[in-house]
Amino acid sequence: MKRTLSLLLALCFMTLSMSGCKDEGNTSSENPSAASESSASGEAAKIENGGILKNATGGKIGTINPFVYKLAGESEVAQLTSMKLYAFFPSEDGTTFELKGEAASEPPIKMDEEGKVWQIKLHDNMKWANGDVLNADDFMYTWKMCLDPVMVNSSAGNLFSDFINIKGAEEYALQGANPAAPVSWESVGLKKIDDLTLEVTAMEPHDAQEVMMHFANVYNVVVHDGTYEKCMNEDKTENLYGTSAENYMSCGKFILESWVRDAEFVYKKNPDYVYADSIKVDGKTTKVVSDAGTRMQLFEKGELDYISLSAQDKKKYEQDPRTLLSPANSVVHVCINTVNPQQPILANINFRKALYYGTDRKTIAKFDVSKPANYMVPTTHVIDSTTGKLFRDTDAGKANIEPDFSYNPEKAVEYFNKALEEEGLKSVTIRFSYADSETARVRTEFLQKSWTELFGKDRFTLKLEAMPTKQLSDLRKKWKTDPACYELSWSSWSGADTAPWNALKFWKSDHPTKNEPFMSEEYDALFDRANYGEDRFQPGVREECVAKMEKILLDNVVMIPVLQGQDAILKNEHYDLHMKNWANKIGYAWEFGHFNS
Amino acid sequence: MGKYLIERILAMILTLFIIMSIAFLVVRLMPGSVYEAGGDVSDQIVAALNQKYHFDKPIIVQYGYYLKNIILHWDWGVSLTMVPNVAVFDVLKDKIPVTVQLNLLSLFIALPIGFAAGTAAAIKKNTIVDHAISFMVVVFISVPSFIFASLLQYFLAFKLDLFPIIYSPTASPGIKALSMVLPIAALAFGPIARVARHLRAELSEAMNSEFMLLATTKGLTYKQATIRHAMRNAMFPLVHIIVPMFTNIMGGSLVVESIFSVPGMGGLMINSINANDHMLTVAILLFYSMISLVTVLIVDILYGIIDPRVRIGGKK
Repeated sequence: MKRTLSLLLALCFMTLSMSGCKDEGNTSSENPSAASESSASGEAAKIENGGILKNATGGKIGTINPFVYKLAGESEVAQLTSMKLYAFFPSEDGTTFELKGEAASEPPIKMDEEGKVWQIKLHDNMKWANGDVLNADDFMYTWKMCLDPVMVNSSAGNLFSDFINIKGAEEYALQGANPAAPVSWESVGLKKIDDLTLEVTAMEPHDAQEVMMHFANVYNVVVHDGTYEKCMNEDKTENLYGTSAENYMSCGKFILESWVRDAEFVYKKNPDYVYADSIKVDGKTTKVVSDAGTRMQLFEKGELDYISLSAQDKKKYEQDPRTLLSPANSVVHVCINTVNPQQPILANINFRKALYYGTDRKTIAKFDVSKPANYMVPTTHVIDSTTGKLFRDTDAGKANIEPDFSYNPEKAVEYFNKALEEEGLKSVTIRFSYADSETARVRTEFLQKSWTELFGKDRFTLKLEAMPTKQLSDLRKKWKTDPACYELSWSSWSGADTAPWNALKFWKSDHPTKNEPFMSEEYDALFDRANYGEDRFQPGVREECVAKMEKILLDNVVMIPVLQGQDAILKNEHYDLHMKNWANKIGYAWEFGHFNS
Repeated sequence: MGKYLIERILAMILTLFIIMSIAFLVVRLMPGSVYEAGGDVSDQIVAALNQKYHFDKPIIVQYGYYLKNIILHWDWGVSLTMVPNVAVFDVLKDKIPVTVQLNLLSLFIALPIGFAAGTAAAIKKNTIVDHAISFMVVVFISVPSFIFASLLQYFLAFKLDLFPIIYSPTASPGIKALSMVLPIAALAFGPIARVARHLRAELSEAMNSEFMLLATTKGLTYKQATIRHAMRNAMFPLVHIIVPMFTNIMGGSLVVESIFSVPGMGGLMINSINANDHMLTVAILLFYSMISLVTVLIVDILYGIIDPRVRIGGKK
């Protein structure tokens, strides 16, 4: 009993001492108010020298190893702290992006008549954070490791085949661990000419812009050989590079100082960065805060300089002068499973047109501050990356857009009646599968209500089915093996916004993960011409192909485009952006801004 | 006792093996693959990755490779999608200390408060004190911890500026300790109520027992009888709830950790399932199973120690 009492007393003592700590904390230097004041005054001193840019992200970062990362947040960290040969930067006037050399000192130099061999010159005096020299050897090492046939990296494909196909690279990377006829590294079209010159040999002819775009890919950042080797396991099949600050080496705009997994990233400005003068802040801190409400409290309390708004907060802060909107790189559309044997009416084009014209896009878009869309190529897609011209601003792009966002109830009912007559039906019941998010629920319930009212309760029924995003994504892709897997569903694809001719690959007949069972030889031929055709560099060819591909999708109602989302960011007024507006590839280029007080 | 312990540990290992096998098969049979073509990953790369990790083989062969790696190399696999290439138990190792720290502190606070509240309610049964404590217990049990977390965060941190809004692992020790106060408090309300409610019930029953009458008849004061006899008897059933509280702290709290941005175990299981990180999911399942089995074992052993009437594995 005495022991129990002693234990109780000890526990009580601990409790009291903790509450003592709490009281003391409220009046001592540990008081967070005092701390924030002191840190604020500390920052006031820092602001004169640039200040620390602070933001929060909701996404968790698993790795910043460029060979394996998949998430946008992961590539963001790598691009802040490492370098690529070419990269997108804000233009001087802050209105658009500029593609130029980052580690490369100039655009690639064409070495043959055809345009298959290109040399890339590097900046002199580049350094890693530990002082090691960064030169052509680092890029050669990076490429070799990325394409390593034993390691098998998920992003290897982005190096061997993206905007350009590098000679022999695919064969080398995919030869397996024990090939019968080994492909040597020497046969790959990636060579070091000297310490500051690299040579790339492609399979097909290209122009300099395509070569630059290829090496500006988010996966093509350089890795530090010493650190990478240190992180390798014994049999060289796994590597821990980029899984902690200790297992990583910086050389980019910022140096990664510390990384507490799922909590915080701390960066400091890299004085040895090639364009160090263009970075005005002293550093950056990114907190990982998954709860949107908590992020908002941190922002309102002045602990963050900018935050992304959740779907719920977007509507609330839409009119706030601190809110910055940026268009999403995809069009949200309704997928239609036209081969579903249980719903032959989905194969009827008049029925699909009825749904297409019966969709009130303007109202749906208002729910979450989106833009109504009756097109498939998003407004962000650039048809000419040298001028930054947007596809939707071209005559061909405008010609594909119908008035009133294609909402025409009379026409919809007309098509609906025609479809039912053709199919010999008196009424139709369709199943709509959607991801179990609030945004998707609201949109789908609106479609249910509006379509039912439009076509008549006795003639049209829309059954709703919610499921986890991943499950829904898997379900949609099963139509090849299980044609009855879904009927209608939401989807969106984010393709390369500087190459809309490539972004339309998701509807090509042989695309492996397409959602809609759409096959068209005409569409495939246009895609091939725009991507691989000999005349693809001629003015207007790609623009024409993209317009025709989009028209085929819209005319056949392969899917029903509904809206283009908008991301919203809340920005502290003490921070001035270099960008006057949002731009492709760089967004608002946060790290190029500066504090104004 | 020694023989009993060995038997129980062997049974535990066998159970864990069965759980591991079932978990592996169930997780690998779930819809969706670890690697899928689409976006930036081509079919050929997916095929090569599946070959590397033997995902292209029949499920039973995959299981064979899994067992072989464990037995020969003590290799439980690596996380493939959430924290690529990091050994599965290293992923857990990074997260467990934070969760344990917060939950252990919340229990150290909750237990004495719960004991005190339960005892006071039982001694002052049917008085205003008892009613007030019972009301508190009802509120603490019925209101989920994340509601308390949100309220504490909004009023004490955001409005009154008394504490940091989120957990600050990189701050100075003082600020870090302060940033732990609110998540600890939010986590403590539930255990306080559970302990208080159970102790009140057990103590009330014990105080009305005949042995209490005997004790007071023999000359003990009411206080002495309560502390020496009633409390001791009332504590015994509490083992049922207190030991699991200690062992379950490894699990973390999904919502409270999310609200205060605590990089702990909360949500790891769900995230690994959603991310199709199969080997990590199996490892987490195995970890939780082991915790549960150890809990049961500790409870059984403690019975024998606390209550002399209970003897485990004794001679027949």
